[in-house]
Amino acid sequence: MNRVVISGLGVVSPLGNSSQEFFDQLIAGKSGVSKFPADFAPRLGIRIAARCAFDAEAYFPRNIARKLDPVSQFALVAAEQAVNDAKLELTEEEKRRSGVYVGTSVGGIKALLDGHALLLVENATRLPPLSIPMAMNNAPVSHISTRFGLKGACLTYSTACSSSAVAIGEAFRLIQHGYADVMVAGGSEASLEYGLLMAWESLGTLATEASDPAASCRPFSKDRSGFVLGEGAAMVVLESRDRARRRGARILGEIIGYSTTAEAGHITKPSEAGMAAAMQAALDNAGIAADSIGYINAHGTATPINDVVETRAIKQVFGPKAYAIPVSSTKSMHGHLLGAASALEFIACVLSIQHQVLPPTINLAVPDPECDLDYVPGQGRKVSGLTTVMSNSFAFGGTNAVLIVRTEQ
Amino acid sequence: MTKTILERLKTLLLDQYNIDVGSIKPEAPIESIGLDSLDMVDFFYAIEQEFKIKLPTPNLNLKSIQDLVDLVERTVKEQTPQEPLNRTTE
Repeated sequence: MNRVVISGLGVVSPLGNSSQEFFDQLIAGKSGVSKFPADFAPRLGIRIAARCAFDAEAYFPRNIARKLDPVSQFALVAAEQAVNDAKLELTEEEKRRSGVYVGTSVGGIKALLDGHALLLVENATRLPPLSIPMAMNNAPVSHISTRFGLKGACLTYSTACSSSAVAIGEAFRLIQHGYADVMVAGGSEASLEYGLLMAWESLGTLATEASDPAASCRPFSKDRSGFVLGEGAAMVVLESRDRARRRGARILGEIIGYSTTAEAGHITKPSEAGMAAAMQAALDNAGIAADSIGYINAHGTATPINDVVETRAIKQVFGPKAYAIPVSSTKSMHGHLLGAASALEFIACVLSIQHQVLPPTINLAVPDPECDLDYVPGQGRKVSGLTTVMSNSFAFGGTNAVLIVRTEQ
Repeated sequence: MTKTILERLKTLLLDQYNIDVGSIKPEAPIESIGLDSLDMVDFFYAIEQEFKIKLPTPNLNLKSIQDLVDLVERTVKEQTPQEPLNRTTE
């Protein structure tokens, strides 16, 4: 089996549009959550979101930008960064063994909702002809594949909040088993639209708005009330370690473990057993003992149930040593990017090893007796000797996914 | 002076597709605009928005740019309410 390394990173996020800026903000404990300025905001009950400062025309000519739903714009910009970061150059032959896996929860939902609004509000009798190619879930993959001429496996994964962990994990396996040499993998989400926000609001999993929006999302804190929706994209370049070494690529880490398991229990409710099974399966896949893990990037949605159940599941897998492992939820800062969340958090993990700094959980002000691990509250923490990190993703629908990344040795 | 239909089509092409057809001749084949089939469908939609009309679909038998201009002119006449007689502008 091939070993698989990470050679490039790309980020479009509420904390900045480069991996460096994103990580700097994370470590500083900055929040990307703000008041939502949209026209429809007054009609929302919860008027906060983690938005990207993203000007499409800074990245695309206007005639191109108008044909891309934001989900594809974010994905293309993050992929371009990752490919450049990896200094990737591929021959025609290599392009046939390179592909793109992207996770997204609702794809080009804006294109679809905009068209629907034309029907309802303006009684339109025809919709924009690009509605379908802009809205389809595999548009981001198609645009990235076309942009870089990648002709191997190009697939879209949609498993809600674990979509991009699955995309990265499946890309890892594809290279591991020799079906591809290079993969661009990650996630993209651009769903901060009226219809979607209203739907989320009524589900009751969103953080109630605090007087200071930045303090709204409070994972593992007793007064937590849910997550803040975010948008953006995160992409990595994965390649076989042999190839990366041969070309003298700068190697940012190695994926050593991946699991995807199903809850087979409830459409939204996570279980301790399901989460624990996912973490254990990733450890088994990596062939490492639980005590090798030096940091866990939690799923940490800040819903009352997730954080308790995830805490219990971590204790179940790691035993008494769980208390010695730092665990943080970076969603407290970048929000919940749904289909792009796992990839963004995976990049936070890669960079935490690179820089030997752990990103914190912010807004953890009120201790919860049921959440009693070391959540790295407040600010980033310098560490030494950090080699192996776990990234958890537990999704609506029950498709859980866990990735383990390690310093390449 | 109001813009001719051809001029308005040229402006649309420049604004939305970044295509400058310059002094293209009306008798030039419609393919010479340089839009692929998907963009052509999108362009027809843009024309509908610009002229506030609904073109017949499918848009068959458009050979030249002049055919398109004629189609738009004909459709505008059919679908636009008569303007008031006491119009004083221009």
